[in-house]
Amino acid sequence: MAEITTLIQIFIWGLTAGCIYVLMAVGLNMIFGVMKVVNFAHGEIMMLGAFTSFWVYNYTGINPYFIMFISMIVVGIFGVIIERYGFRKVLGTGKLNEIFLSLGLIYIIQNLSVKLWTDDIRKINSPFSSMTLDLGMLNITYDRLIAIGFTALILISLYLFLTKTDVGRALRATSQNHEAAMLMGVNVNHMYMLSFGIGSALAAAAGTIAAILTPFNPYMGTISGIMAFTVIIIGGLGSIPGAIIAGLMLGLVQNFTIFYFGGAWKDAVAFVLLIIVLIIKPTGLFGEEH
Amino acid sequence: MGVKELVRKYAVSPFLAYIPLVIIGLILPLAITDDFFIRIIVLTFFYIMYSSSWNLLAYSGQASLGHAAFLGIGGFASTILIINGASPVVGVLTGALTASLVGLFLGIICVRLKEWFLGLVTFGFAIIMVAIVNESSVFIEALNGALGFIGLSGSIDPHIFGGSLGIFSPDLVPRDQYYYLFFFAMMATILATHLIIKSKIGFAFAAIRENQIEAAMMGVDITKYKLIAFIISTFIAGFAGALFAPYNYFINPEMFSVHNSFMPIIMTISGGIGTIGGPVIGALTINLIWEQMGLWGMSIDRLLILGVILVLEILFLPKGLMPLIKKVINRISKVMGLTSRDMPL
Amino acid sequence: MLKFENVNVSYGAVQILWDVNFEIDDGEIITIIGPNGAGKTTIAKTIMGLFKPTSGTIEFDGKQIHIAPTHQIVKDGIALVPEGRDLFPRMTIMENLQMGAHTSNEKKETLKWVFELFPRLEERQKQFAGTMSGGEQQMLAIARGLMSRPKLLILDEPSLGLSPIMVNKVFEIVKILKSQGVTVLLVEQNIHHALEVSNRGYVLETGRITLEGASSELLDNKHVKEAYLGM
Repeated sequence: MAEITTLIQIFIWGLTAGCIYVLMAVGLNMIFGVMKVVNFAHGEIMMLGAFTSFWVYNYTGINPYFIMFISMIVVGIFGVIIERYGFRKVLGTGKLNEIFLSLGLIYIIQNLSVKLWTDDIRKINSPFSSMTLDLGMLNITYDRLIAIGFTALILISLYLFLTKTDVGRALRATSQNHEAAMLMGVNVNHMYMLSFGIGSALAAAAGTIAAILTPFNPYMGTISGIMAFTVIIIGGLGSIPGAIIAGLMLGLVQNFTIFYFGGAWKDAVAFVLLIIVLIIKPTGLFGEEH
Repeated sequence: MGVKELVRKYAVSPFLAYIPLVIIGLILPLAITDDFFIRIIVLTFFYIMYSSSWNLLAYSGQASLGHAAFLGIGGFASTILIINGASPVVGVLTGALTASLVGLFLGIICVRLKEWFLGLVTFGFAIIMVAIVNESSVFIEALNGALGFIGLSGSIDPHIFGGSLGIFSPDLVPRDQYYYLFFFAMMATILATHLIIKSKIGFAFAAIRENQIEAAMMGVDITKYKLIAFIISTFIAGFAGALFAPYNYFINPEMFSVHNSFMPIIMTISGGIGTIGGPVIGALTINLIWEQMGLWGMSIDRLLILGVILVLEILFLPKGLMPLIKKVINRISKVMGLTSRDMPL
Repeated sequence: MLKFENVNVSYGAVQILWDVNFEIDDGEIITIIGPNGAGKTTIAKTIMGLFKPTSGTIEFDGKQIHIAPTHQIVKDGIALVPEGRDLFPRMTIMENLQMGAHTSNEKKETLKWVFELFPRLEERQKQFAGTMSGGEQQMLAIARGLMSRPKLLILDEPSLGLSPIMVNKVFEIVKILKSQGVTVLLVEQNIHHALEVSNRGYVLETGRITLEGASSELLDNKHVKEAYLGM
């Protein structure tokens, strides 16, 4: 049995990894909830968020945590474009077309990024990267604490937006009953764009945090995209609380697995969890029966 | 029936279109000496087999995004067996069967779920296969086995097929042996696809693909047919992988790459998903473009361009090239006065 | 106010409405009655833009709405209370009402009016719509439809699946709306109540209008009596 301080350390790592998953999963749930569209390229959007923050930071030197919001806006707009000219066109032609479209997008975004930026490994070194919180035998890097803090901030803002504003309420309505929302005078095309924009912005935030905490390259998106889907299935499709709990849980489970069994099994354990959920309760922890 | 009626009936039958191609296929290696060109043709045969297997699964409405997993399982299983002394026939068949069993397992998990779950599960499965192969001591020992290799590649003497199968003349160069091996395997696959699609099973597949609920109401056993599609599709994929491993001189976890999962998808969609000729046309076209771009040195760009092709196809040409080809053939045969009805293909 | 002219609507290869014509004037309560599957809901949905006619026109206050998108039609002043209620199940009563007022600028006043009509809704405003009984849901659905202060309110089978007490309540509400000057299009299978509460009626049978006239006359009509009122 490892020392208690090591365990707490891993717990913090798991929590921060979980925060990244939560941001990805909540964004995905937003898109899936409103549009019922499966976008496997969500991971590539996260990667774009990471690179956008990286390059802006490179050229301006502004605190990357502020740049994160710029990245969210830029990538959010990109998401809107993909929706408007890509997914909206295949809406209603069957899930398979959506899946193939996202596969094509993965290829384009990933390889375009490699072409433009090479597959070198990079990292954003935040101004806090060398600062740690010293609690006796326990050292927690500030970056991790900030990551958790920002995740909470973003989630709370999202919650307020969805419950207290007219537009937010319209989004929720559209995801609950598409036709009824139309009858309320909601322009569902606008809702589609908005959901893709917000979902992509959240992915960009996740990407920025990941870029600050770990080295990354254009291939970071593939696994992340799958993990995001795994999280929302485990948590229950369309359930934001489910996504939060499942995301944090996955981050913790993965990090403890790495510690005890080695890094190679990180993805396998997520997959095993997915299979278990699919066998026992496919609607996930908080999912609704259809 | 008079000769005229016979000609009219069969002149535009798809089988007749295949005959000249088959003849060309049979004599090609005797005519061409360029090894590189032959290799490209063999690869095309391989892709036709592999894409047809994916197409068959997609025909039943199930889209696998990780078909490379079955390719690799077939390849690894057969390689391990052959290295450790099994005959090539046993090795290849067992490899294919192993792939099929794994496919059945995944199929059972996903059969009651919405279609995109399958995409996710297969995609993830292919990715973790890499980890499993890399980390499992089982694999490492088995592959290192008789030939004492270090690391994760296994290799089989490519001469094995000609020798022990005994059907090829010993004068035939291994290059040509592989050519015919893949040629006949491909023809068998196309024939099998044709028979399945035109049969009661194929009809069930199509019904399930179009509207599962209605198919169930018509009395189709959804689970049974979906799983049948899985078993057949993954068997063929595993078979293709098992044949490919020795041809390629080695096998490693690269077999499970996203790229290998992507290729049958873009090939089938380009050709025409759900048609028999689709994977054939698609494999031909895409592989040609792919190899040509490779020759031009565009290693990253060609990946990008494939992605662009797929996206453009989904948006503007989702049924692939087959409908266009059918239109052209119909036009020609009408002009030639051979028939007044349209060819189904 | 509303002119539905020579409208044909198909769903895929199946034609549902055949050359349907009717009119609604300001302040009237019009009812479209007929058997199950005649196409009544299709008419309601076509007005709202959820179906597009293959031919014919729909004019509302001078505007051609058969080519307009649904959200625009709602903004122009038509609201539909759909068959089966179609509420937002995981939203509270208040939130459902707020959604109803999505296109409106007078939320506070309208809310007051609606709560006067449906006091039970005010009491329970934090309750989730999915947990309500059928009759309560119908009240909420009608209330929600009123929140946009529509010029024309369409009620699609509001009595469907309700207990006799609730059915009476629904038609009482319709009578109150009539007295307050709201124009209503009532699509109904419950012929008796519908003809009692409305000014004029149209009978729709397998997608065609077969009878029309003042509701009082239709109540006396031989065909209506035999086919629908069980006499």
